[in-house]
Amino acid sequence: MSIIMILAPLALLLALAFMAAFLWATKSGQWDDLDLPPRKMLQEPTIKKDRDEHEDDEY
Amino acid sequence: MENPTLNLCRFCLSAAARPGDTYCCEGCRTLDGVHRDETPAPDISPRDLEMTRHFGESRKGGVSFECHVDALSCEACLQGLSRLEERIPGLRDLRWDRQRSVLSFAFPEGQSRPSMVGQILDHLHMNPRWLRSDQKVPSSERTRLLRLGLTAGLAANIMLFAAPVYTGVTGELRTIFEWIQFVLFLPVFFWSARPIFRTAWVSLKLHQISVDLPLAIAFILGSVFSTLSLMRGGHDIYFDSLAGFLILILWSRSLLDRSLSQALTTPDVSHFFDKPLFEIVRKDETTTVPWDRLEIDDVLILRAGDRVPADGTLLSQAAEIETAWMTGERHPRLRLKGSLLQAGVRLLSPEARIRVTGHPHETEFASLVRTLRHRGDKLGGNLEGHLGAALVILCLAVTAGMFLFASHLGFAEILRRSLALLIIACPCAVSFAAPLARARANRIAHRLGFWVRDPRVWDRLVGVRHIAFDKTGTLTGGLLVPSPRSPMIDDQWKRIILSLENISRHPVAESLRRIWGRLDLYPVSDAREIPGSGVEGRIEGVLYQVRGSKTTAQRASIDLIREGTKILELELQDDVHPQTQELLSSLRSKYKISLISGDREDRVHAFGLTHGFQPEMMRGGLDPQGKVRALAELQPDVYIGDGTNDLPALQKVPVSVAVSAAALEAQAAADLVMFDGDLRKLEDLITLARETRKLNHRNLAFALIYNFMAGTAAVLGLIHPLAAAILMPLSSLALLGSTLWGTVRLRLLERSR
Repeated sequence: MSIIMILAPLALLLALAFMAAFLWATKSGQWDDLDLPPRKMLQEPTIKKDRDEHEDDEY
Repeated sequence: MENPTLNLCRFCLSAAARPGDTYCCEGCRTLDGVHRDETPAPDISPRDLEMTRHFGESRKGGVSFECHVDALSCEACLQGLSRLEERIPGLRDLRWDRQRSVLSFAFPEGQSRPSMVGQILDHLHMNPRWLRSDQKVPSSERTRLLRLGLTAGLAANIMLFAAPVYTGVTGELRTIFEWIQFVLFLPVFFWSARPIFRTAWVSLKLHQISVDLPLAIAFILGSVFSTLSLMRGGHDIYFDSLAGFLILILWSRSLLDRSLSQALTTPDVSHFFDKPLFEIVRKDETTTVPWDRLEIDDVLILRAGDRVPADGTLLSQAAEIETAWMTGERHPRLRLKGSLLQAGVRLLSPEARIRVTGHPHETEFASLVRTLRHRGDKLGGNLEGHLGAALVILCLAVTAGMFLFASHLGFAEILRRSLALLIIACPCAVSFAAPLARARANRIAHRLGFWVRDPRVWDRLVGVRHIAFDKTGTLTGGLLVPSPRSPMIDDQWKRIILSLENISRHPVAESLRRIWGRLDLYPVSDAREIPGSGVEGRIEGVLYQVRGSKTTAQRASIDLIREGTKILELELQDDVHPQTQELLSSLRSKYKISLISGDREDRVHAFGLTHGFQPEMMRGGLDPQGKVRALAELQPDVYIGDGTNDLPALQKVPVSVAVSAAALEAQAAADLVMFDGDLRKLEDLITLARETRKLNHRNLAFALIYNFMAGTAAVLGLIHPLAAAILMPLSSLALLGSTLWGTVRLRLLERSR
């Protein structure tokens, strides 16, 4: 019984934390664009190397 | 080794390249060019500064921009767009809000290059319309998502604390868990359910039946009863059922709203201008302004291809214009200095100056666009709406009946059964069935080459008996091609004509460039376009002229003249689509067909008689209002057009279709846009509508049988409210399965291309 008294509030706190995170993510526009970010994630970044600095690199 | 019959696009690698090209479309060519371009980005131009001044919004150390764009579905374009931040210096936070069709991005202060982004978007045919800060509308999608997400979180946690109660926990712990459910339920009642209460209240005030009314009643009754029971120490609480039920309702509503809102956007006047800013001279100073900031006495400086944004007086000596928005025809008209130019006409001459004489919002063109916002009474009643209302009334009547005549059961039991009834017999399945079927039809229509703008068109397509066509741009390509009677022309003469016409945007010039393709051009000196006459110039010192001849009902001619001597005469005629004859033969046997056009009456009749139209079913020489009168007289079920002059007509018929080459404004006004270009698919579309109706009826029959059986079980006390909350979405899933299964013909249509 006593363990429930600890776990139940913990569960509620955890739920509240997740809901707060969801609230923050939505208000900051994380879900506004579901098309471009997944595609950006899968693309290899084009890194322009400085020729002098990386001349001796193997690749 | 490449497969000689399948040359893949160099950029997207998924579509076949056009013959003689390495790309499948201009979008891929543009994006490949952008991503391969190693040259440094150009300096910030005066245009960038002007656009920043008008459309940029300072925010967090940068300048943000928003533009409304056409919907983007091509995967290659999305991939290319997602890499723009790497290619354009300073570009960041590029986001595309699919729901609102708005692209937003930002630049650091002093590094804004919105014109570069705009150019790329133009090449991708996204038609950017830039938004000023006073035009930006905040997204409602975030609120909707918040409501869904938080309600789901609360509902899940309520059920977390309800589960032990169902599995047998007793005593003090049970009471604690029930109170926790109550606390978690409070935001669900006062915030999450607000849209349902609001709709139910509005429908009551308007004396209408709404699906939300029984939901609201069930919700309030259940909440009040559960709270009272909790306060009294009882255990008849239904917070878990109500919360679970609410989240399912909100989720299904969200899906429905999303599909409908995407189909029902209305255009703004700014959509019809190809550039966001117009160059003007105001009080002896040259500046640029958006179209709606023009003032009387401003001198507009327009270039070839610009649409005139406001009524004005021509200050230049002469100008050729195209009045397609009024007549549907792209044949040029000559205007001389001092004549009035109406807003909406398009300039063909290289440059013209116009003094603005009227407010841009008060033009006939602007009022024509505003009529698009009132799409007329195309709503009508629908079967599922009436059935839903009938179900609601029945549920409420049975509930009232139980309270009045079954009091021997006890208040708690009656309430439990009523809750179960109102939940399980909620006509959501009935109102869900039809949109589901329409969503599938939209998807199949897309494969057939149609984009459905108004999903309610499926009901109206079922009873089609009479189809009316516009001529130019619909049954013909809107261009002029050499007639069969014209002599074969050597490439040398073609090159000379194209070289001279290179400075012209005249429809004849555009047509010749399109049909003769890419030929090497000769350098031309002293090239000039003579409005109303033609073009001339010197090639290797020899004077050549291209002059237009008088047109007849069916043909136009141009002459090539060298040093005053006519070399050749080229006869041009309307380019009839190759599939027109096949299409009309097929349709004639099953439907009544008519021809309604803004072209000259003799041309329309000559064309119509050649292609099998009955004389009494043809109307020509019509302006936009004339077309409306003709449609009122002939009363077709479907009208297919392309031009801006079709705008009022497209709104007056039960079903309107804009062809792929249609003006942007016609696409915005039509119920269906045909982006594939094959009118022969029209018959498949009508079949699709009829099969969708069959599917719809099947779904409705299932929903009604389910509602009757489940409702009866609830009234007899055989179903607990929690079970009802689970059964109701299961029925929705079953409907979803039925819609996905479809009918035999639907599956065949889906597989065909």
